[in-house]
Amino acid sequence: MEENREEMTIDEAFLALDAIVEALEGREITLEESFQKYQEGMGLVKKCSEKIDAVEKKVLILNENGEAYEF
Amino acid sequence: MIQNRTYSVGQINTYIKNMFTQDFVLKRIYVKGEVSNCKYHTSGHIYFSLKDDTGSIACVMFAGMRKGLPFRMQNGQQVVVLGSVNVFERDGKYQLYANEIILDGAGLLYEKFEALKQELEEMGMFASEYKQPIPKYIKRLGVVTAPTGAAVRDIINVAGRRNPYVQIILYPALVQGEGAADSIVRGIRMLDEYGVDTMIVGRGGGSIEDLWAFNEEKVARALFECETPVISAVGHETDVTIADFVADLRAPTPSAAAELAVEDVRLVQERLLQYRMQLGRRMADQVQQQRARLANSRTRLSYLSPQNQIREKRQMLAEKEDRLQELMAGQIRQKRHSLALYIEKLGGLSPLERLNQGYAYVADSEKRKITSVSQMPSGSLVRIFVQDGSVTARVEQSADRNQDDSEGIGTLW
Repeated sequence: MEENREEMTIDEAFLALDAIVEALEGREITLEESFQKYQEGMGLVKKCSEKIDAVEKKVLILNENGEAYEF
Repeated sequence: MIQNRTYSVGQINTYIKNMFTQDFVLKRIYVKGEVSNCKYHTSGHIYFSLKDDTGSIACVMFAGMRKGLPFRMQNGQQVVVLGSVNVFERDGKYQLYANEIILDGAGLLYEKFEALKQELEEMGMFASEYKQPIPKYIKRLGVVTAPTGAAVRDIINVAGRRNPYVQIILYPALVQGEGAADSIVRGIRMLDEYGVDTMIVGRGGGSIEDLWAFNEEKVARALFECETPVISAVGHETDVTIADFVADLRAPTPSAAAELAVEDVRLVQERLLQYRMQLGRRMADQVQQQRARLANSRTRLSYLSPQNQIREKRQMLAEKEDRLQELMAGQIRQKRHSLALYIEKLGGLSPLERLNQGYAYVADSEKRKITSVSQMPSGSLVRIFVQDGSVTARVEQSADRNQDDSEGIGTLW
């Protein structure tokens, strides 16, 4: 279901971001790799923000026809 | 002739009544049973029987006690009667005189609940294998509950506070009374069909009768068959219904259900902000680091460059030159100094100096040095050098210092 994908992605994204931040702390990483990881990280942050879909929603009522309308 | 004493009916009845009156247990006792032969008399008294499998007992509640009966008593009801058992003397019958009557419907329902619970449990409907995990970050939340009342308000408030971007879809259901179970089932099915990420099914607190719809088998089935994860929130924390066992998760209250269903979006946003900051900072650090390394290498390289090498060597050379000159100058100074000393010494030893001082240098005609009187016999020629020239002289007399000094030449000494 869609929400499962979304949930896994947000938590997965957090895990990936943790790994990226840790990698960027390293002393051995090259500058090219740093840029790559940075872009990857910012990309993940952006995707998560989009998933939140920051639009306030009004409560809907489901009627007997299976249609939803505002409370 | 009968020897024993004989009593009248009245006496016996009185006697028996006394026995009852003196009995400790029968003075105040709770008796439960099913109501039958219930009659509301015009006098205000109520006559009825209490019965169960084993038998029955006659009961009466006098008009004066009617406050103790808060409902309309009907045949078939399970009740608990508080009162005393005593004898109606005139008829020789004993009765239960009721002071309070409470409906034991609760007890009966509870038994029904237990039976159904066991049945469904055996069928495996409560098994944990069938339970779905509740998704963490949802977009759509379904709610089956009454459209008015504290429950729906709490759910909407808590969910809205935690994440106002989640879409809530409410199926307004009957949550008690006739048709409630069907309404709830319909709500579950319709929301499942409409498509939501998680569903909350529940209602506010009430008696076991009020909550009964959530114990109905059809509701349990609907919950079990529901594909969407369901959180049950029926009544208060201490109320347990069958719906709670079948649901994927049980919440103690509607507010708690909303908390379990909706993750606080601010936490997510804060975390994302943190990540953004960390990424930026780390990236800047990395660039800084590389810059430093570059500068370091540049410095070291420039140090090793041929130009630098030459410069260095030149400098070393200049230094050595300086040193050399210094040492040389020192040496020369030293030697000059020694020379000056020698000169002085020599000067002191110089015969010319001696001559300056008034001494004369005496040599023979061969210019050989004369140091002794013996070298100057009388009549010999000697050459006498003084500072500004020399004379040739003939010796007239000589005197040996160590011998006779008649001429007093020794006085020279």
